[in-house]
Amino acid sequence: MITIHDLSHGILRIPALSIEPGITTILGPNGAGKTTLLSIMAGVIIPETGLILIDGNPPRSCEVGWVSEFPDRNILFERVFDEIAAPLRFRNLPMEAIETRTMEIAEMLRITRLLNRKTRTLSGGEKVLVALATALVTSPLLLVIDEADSHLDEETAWEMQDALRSDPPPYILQSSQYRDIAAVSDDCIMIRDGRVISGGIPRDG
Amino acid sequence: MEGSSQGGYPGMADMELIADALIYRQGDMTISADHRFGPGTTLITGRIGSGKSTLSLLLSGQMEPESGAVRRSGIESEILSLQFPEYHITGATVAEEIRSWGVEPTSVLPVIPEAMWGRDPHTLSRGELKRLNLASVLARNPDLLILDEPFSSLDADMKRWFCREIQKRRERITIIFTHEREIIPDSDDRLVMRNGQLEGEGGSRQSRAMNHSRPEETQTTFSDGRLRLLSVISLSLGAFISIGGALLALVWWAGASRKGRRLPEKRLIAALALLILVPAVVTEILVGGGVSYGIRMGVILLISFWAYAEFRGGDMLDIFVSFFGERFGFDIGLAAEMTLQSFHLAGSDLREIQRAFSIKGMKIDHKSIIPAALTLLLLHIRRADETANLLAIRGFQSGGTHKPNFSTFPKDVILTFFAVLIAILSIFIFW
Repeated sequence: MITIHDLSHGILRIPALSIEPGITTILGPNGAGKTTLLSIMAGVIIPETGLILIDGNPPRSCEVGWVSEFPDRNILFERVFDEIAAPLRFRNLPMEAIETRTMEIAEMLRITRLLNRKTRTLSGGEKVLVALATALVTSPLLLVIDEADSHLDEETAWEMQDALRSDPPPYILQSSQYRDIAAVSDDCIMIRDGRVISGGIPRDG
Repeated sequence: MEGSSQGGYPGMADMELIADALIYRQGDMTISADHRFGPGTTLITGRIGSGKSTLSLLLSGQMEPESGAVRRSGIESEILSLQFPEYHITGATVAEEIRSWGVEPTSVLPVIPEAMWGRDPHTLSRGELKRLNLASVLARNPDLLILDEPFSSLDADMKRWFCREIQKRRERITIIFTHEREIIPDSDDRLVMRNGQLEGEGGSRQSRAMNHSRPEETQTTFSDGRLRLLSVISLSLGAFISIGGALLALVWWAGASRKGRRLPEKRLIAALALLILVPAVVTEILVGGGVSYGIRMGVILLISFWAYAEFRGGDMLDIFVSFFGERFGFDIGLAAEMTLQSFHLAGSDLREIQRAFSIKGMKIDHKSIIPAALTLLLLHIRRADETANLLAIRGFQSGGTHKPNFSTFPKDVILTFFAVLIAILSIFIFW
């Protein structure tokens, strides 16, 4: 269970909220605070006040995967293999373990054929799958997807959803521009003006 | 502005934009279009990467086709709205930004409320910027309006507002490129981009089935990055020390570098040549030796352009890890990779900004250089921030596993041998 207590950051005010394992979609109009909430959950932003625990751990002390609004503009390496393997390299794992795990995740997302391609020459949909593989390669406890489909066509957005479900991490938090995608997730949380309107399990602190 | 757009109905019936057998190759995709666009709304859909943005640039004249032509008749004003509104910013305030489109801030009410007019457009969210851009170009009401992904970053209410506004442009040409499905305006013509080809019913002429598949390959003179680095250092040193070394390095450069990768853009050459020539002439007149200085610096520049064009992603990581190991070397190598990548991105950002300026009929000159540079700088700060976050999320702290993989060919060794020889000759003989 993910628990939020007395969270306050910018316009965001969440006194108490719990999120069950599964795929949770955050909905809300422009400027409601979706990106802020997701960034806090991922540990990208430290909130002004508040406590967030993911199965008892704060975001920065557990494995978190992150797919940003522009998966295609946030590619760091030229070769697909190097991009996906990067998080494992940063953890100084031995090369054999890196290769095994990278192949494994590529097979799971059915992108083995892309491993030797240049990231620059991939199609938009392929880039998204590579970003997803990179986020999942460390087997994170939580995967955060921030509006990654706002520049994608619907087919590509659904391809990403299918890929997500092939071996999902325990928790997935996403925001999506497609209502149908929100409809098939396990839970939806509506936020407006920084406050939770519905969804999740509101609890007393 | 809105008042001035009412007159002249008779001529408008003839308003048309014709894409006549347009062909443009981009990587391994061929963009092709053959279509007549008349008054009303044309919707062009297609998956991401199908060539929509490129076609929008071709139709607006921002890019030249390889063959075919775009012809206009009866069109007196036109605007292209780019997918990413950040590039369009030229004003220091929202009000100035609206005026830069040739419209008064009052004409974009209530979409852009008065409370926003004094703000710096760089502080707006992408959704707000998109709104600002769309409201301004709609108020300008040009004869031809081409919109690339107008719906991205808009919320549902704004999408509906936009669709209503587009309906008011029935007698003018509106071309919308989008992947949006849920909320779209009524259209007179619907087309689709598939693998670079514009296809569709409703007035489209037979589109040619073309697919010049051209595999993208990056061939470089050197396979071994270490030897290339050694050669570049030797040649630069040789050219710096003596005029004899510089001339030999010039011969090496002419022999080793591949055609087409040798030189940067013409304007950049002109600017740099001037930078070298002025001090060279001044030195020659005042104390002598200016010609030698000019030649030596010129050769060093040529070699550095070549070296920059030759680098491939991963080279820096390979080189630094092989010299300094997986902790220190990895960190420097990664930093060098990121720096090179941001150079590449700065180049493409600059092209986008130039386009955005020319859409407004402005040129990058002494007056507009500051807003253009500011936009570029802010884009880079934002991107650096994103990259830093991404590295942190991916768990980068210090060092990493990397096994450099070099393949050394005889040619590499020969070229390096001559480069080092030039440095030695330059030091011991010509100096």
